Amino acid sequence: MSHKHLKRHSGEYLSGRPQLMAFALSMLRNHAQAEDVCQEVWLKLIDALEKGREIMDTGKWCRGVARNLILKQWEKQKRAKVIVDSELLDLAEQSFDEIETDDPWWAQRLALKDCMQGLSDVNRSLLHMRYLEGNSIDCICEKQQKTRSAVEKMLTRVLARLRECAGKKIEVQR
Amino acid sequence: MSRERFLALVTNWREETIDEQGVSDLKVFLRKDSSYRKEFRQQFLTLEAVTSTLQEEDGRIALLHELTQENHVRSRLRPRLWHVAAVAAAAIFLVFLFLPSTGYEFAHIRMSDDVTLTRNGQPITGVLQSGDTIQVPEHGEAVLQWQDASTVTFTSKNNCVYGDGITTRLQMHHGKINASVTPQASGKHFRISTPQAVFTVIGTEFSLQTDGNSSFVHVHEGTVAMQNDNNSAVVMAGQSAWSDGLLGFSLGCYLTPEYSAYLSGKRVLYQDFAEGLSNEWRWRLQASDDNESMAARPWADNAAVSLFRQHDGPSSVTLDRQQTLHVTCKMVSPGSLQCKLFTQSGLNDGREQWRVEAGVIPEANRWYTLSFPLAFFYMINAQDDGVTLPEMNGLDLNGAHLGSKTENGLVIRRIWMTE
Repeated sequence: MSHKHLKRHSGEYLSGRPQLMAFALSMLRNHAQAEDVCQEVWLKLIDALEKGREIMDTGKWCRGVARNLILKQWEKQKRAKVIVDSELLDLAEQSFDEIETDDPWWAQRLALKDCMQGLSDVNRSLLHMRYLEGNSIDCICEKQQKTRSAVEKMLTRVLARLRECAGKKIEVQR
Repeated sequence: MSRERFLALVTNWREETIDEQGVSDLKVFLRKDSSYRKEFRQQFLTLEAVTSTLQEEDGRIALLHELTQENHVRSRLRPRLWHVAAVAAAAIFLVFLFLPSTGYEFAHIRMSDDVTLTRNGQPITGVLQSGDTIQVPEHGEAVLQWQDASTVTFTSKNNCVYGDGITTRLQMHHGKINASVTPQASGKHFRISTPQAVFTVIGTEFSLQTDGNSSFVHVHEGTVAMQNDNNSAVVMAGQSAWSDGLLGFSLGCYLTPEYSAYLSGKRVLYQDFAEGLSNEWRWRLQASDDNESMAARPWADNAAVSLFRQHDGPSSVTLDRQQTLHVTCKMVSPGSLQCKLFTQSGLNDGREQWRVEAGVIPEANRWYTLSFPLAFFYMINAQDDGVTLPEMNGLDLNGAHLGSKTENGLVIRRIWMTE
């Protein structure tokens, strides 16, 4: 594997990592597990490159590998009854394949991160517990002494507000 | 089925409260048309941005905690009975802490027959000492394990020197390792050096690879600090960094995943980008191996946004104020530019759109302070014109920038030019 080759693919992997992470999150809905998948994909990519494998589209290749890893993980967890569904995985993969070159997802991402600075401590803590620590909603209800529907509404509202804020920022930039 | 129903289904899916019928309905929507798939994707891109921001904040807090841990512990100490037990444990711990610092740090090595250990050129067996060389052939296997259970596994052909255990555990000249390092006691460091950088490990799992010209680290868990004489950077879990430090000058390292890039150049000086926690943005230009193009990636959000909104295909970016530094760039992906960098000194092809002339020719080996309002960014369609960009042969021109955000554009404080 040439240095240049590794650089190119590493760069493509790294610049596409947020998308890969979002794809893994969309199926696993658990940050730690999605991180694991992304890192596993990275190792497999390096391994494939070291073996001299030709990879044309790094992003797509990585999603394909992630897809298989997620399927394996689901099988291991024996969650097949309701959720495990390769068709859903295919559709999610398709949705990420459909990102067009002029899609402003990167700008949105940056705007979102910016909007996060304006979050209240309560909302930040809520997002932290749910999406970073991976606590279940029931667990958060107990910790926060709130009803399930209240927590669900808060989460939905915070995410919606963040997206709205990001949308406005992008509009202003335009 | 309405859009509201779809959004509710996505929410239920995200919150893992969806039932079998819900999954089935969700698939119907996703199959139906791309607008639903786009919305689905957006929801999780949002979630990714949220979690990565939270994680970054966590990483910073953890690092600060690490740095202030000693004071923190001290300030929280209160006289309690159970502290007697803690004091006893601490005494034992201190004994262990003290012992290694007084001398040599032993490591156990497990290896296949084809691995060679040499001391002053002579093959050896037994305990490794500082300066001993470990040579692992292509398919050889070797695992080093220290007293604190930290291990380094050699995963490819490798050539390295065993360190003294105090300043350095391993000096890698060539090869690839995977390491799992036990969190080090206060005052102790687990360091691995390569020709380009020194990696200080703060309890972590990581992969490190060097080919003698550059080093690449990917951190799986924990934190690794990398530095050389002038620069340092902290690489967090999930991040990777490259460094190429040539001719004794400073290394460059790029933290990833968001800000991936590489630095490769004949001479690059760069200063003060160690903090990573300030509001400053940073970006760098990279000369490719053949010096025909430069690639730049912004280091932080604000810069990326600024550049991104300028994007309309291949572009020429003129950076100009009392200088004649010109950069011709094209956006290759969001947040990523490929640029040509050249000066007035006859290296461009004479096309006016690439020559906005003012002031003096940048003198080699001097720092320049430049300001680049965004208004100076303009577009030309170089590729469609069939323009062959001027060759950079004969001039190793590298830039290293440290900048900050301003209201009306980008300020690059320092540029070091070399010829």
